[in-house]
Amino acid sequence: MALIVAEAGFAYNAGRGFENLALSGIDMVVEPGGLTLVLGPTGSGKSTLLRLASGLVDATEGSVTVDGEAMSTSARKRLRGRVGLVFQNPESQFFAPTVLEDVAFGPRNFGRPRPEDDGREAMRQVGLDPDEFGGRTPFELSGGEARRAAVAGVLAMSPDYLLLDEPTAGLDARGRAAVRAAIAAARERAGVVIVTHDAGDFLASADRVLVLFCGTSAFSGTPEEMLSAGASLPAGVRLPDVPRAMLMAADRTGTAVAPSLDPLVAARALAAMAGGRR
Amino acid sequence: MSPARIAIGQYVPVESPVHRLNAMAKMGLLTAFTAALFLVHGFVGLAAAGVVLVGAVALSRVPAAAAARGIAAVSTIVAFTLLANGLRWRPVTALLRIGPLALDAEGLRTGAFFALRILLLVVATTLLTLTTSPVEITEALERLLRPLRPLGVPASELAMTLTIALRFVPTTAEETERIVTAQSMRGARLDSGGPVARVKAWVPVLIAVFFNLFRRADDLAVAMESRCYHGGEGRTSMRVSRMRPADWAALLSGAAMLIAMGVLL
Amino acid sequence: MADGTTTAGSGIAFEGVSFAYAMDGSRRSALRDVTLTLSPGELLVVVGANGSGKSTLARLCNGLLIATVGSVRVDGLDPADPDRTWDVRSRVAMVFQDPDNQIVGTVVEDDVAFGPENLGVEPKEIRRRVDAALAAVGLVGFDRREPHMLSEGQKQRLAVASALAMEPAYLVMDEPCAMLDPEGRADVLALADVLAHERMHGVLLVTHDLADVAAADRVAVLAGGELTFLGTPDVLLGDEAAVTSAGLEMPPVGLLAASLRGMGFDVPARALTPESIVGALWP
Repeated sequence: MALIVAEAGFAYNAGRGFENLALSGIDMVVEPGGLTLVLGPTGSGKSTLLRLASGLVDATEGSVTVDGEAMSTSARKRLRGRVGLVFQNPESQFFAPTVLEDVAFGPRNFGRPRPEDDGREAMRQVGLDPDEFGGRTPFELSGGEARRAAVAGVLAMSPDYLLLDEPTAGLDARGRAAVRAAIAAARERAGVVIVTHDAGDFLASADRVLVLFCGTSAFSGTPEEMLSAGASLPAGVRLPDVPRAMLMAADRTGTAVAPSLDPLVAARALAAMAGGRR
Repeated sequence: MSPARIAIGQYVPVESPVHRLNAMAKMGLLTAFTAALFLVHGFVGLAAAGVVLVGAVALSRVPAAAAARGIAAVSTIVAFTLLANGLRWRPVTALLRIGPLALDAEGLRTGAFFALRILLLVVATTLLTLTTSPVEITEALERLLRPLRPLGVPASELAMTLTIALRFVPTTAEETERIVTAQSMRGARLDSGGPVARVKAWVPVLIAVFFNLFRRADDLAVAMESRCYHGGEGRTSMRVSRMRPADWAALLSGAAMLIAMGVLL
Repeated sequence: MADGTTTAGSGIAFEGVSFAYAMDGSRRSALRDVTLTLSPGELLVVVGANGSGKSTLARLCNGLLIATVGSVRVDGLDPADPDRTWDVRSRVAMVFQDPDNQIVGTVVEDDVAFGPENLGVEPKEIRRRVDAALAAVGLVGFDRREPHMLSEGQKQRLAVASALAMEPAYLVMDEPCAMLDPEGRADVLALADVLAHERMHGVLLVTHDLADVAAADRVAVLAGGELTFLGTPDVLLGDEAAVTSAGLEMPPVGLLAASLRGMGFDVPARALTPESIVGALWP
């Protein structure tokens, strides 16, 4: 069981005079319980990849399959709900008078027998107590609460794969922590893909990292491999600050170092390079 | 930039005598052109108007395809005009009979006249928006409405409203598309089912869009107030839209020629 | 000014300011007893979690909100005085969080001209201000660009240009980086630094991200509507308790710097970039 993107690509206006290649030669495999982090600067094709994987657009090269079945714009209706996509700033899609009604919208449309139960379950998954939040109006929620309610709206459809575009953008520390926890909970049943230009929040918990640059894959591997590859990543892609500091120091002193996300590990390494404690 | 990318009537920034002409002069000429179209007696007059229009399009250096794009949009109206005039109920003479209905030569001719007039009007108006930026159009409208201020017409505020609306068209379109996609991914069936079901399906999209629009308007009002916007009183303009002698010459001679054409032909 | 009612350069002064929202018959306190002053040439960063009152504080600076208790003065002027509102707003320019929802013009130069047009500035002078403002934010040549063709970071820089065209003494930025990518954030923060320290504006930057305090002269921390800290970034970043109790998060690179300090290295607390840390270890 997996969501597989194989050598896939997408070109706008394919075949016409002004073809614009947004994505090319991308490989990605996501299994339930897994977390794939897709990094890259703005315009690198990350959002296009999400659209491909969710069947919003058809791949112009390669293929996308969900549990063995081909995903496409026509198949999307048949594969309904298997792949859930949470857009950037998903709070803009709120429309219902209560949070529960908005969250239950998806399961209701898909003909589930008890959409409100699915809604309540999804709310619990993201850490929003249905009794406390269910009856409130979605427009009054705080940043982190609203974000989680929108995620719940997608989780309520019980997708096997959950794709998220910048899930922590614009949130403060507490909101980000709450969303991270919600995604960790979702990961228990689904395969998760997170697209972001800020590696900090999720790099530690990801099992695969895909770095996009100008529509192609600049790196694909584990987070540890990515940290080690730091120097060879393209200019527009940056490691988080802590491992980057380690690599800069290693550069300065001509020593080798295994970059880490842990500030304490990094401090010890830097201290050693600088000649021990002062 | 390919012609296909240019939406109907959107401003094409190119250097040309038509672009340089003051927006108010262009509006005046369009009015005269419209008057001429309704004054001409027959196809000769329309042909003359057509020649003038083709000349103007050539002079404006915009791609001909862009100017002609509006035609596709009104094709239904044109077809309807042709048929409404051309079809008769059991006429005596006919070109072609379809049951009790028939195509009548005289009626078709009248229909063709009206249809051609519509097409010429559409292309002329498109030419205005292709050669005049939205800013210039709103400014021209404001100046034209200004004399009505003592009568209570809020010319400056209307122009500001129009400017803001124009500014937000692309932004709102993108946002609406996102919301439509998001809701349809949650199963909203927006393009299937009977009319009632479809209307019901669009409600979640429209509510979300409206809520975002109101929030946007709120934020924008705060931003505008922060930059000391307080209506049209005392407001100046960076761009001074003045009718130069060349603009007056073009307007007056052009209008005269068009009216003459309308009366004579 | 000659009329004696203003004291140019005295800053935006908050004295015992409280503010409460009245909603559905109940009152919700957003700010309690805040006293601080922003001076020209200073970059003051106000940090707080969502709901801490930081946006309220920003809006009190130019009279969008009026203090319920205490006083706010802008160069001696009272924003609550209806005769002084426009005066205050031409001295305190605002940049808001959502890049799109503050852009009024159909093209870049028209948006920058919007402020001066409202002030009744004469056309040639408006043009001069527009050119100067766009140059100051690095958007030269963008005059006729349409807003929806700009990146989010460019839109925020446009918002700053539009604010600068008012020729304000003070610039208040309410979470300007919240919706930007790392590159956009860096650009806006660099601008805030330059505007305060090279162009001598008084700049108030409101944020929830502690990493934004690096270039600040002073930092104010808001928690639950109260000012829990007012001092230099070095002191704040060295005080983990003050940070966490306000619902803020020390950036990992800040923890790295703190660990190195604990080991005896001379790494300043405001070294919040890999470059500055490495620079401190190998001067």
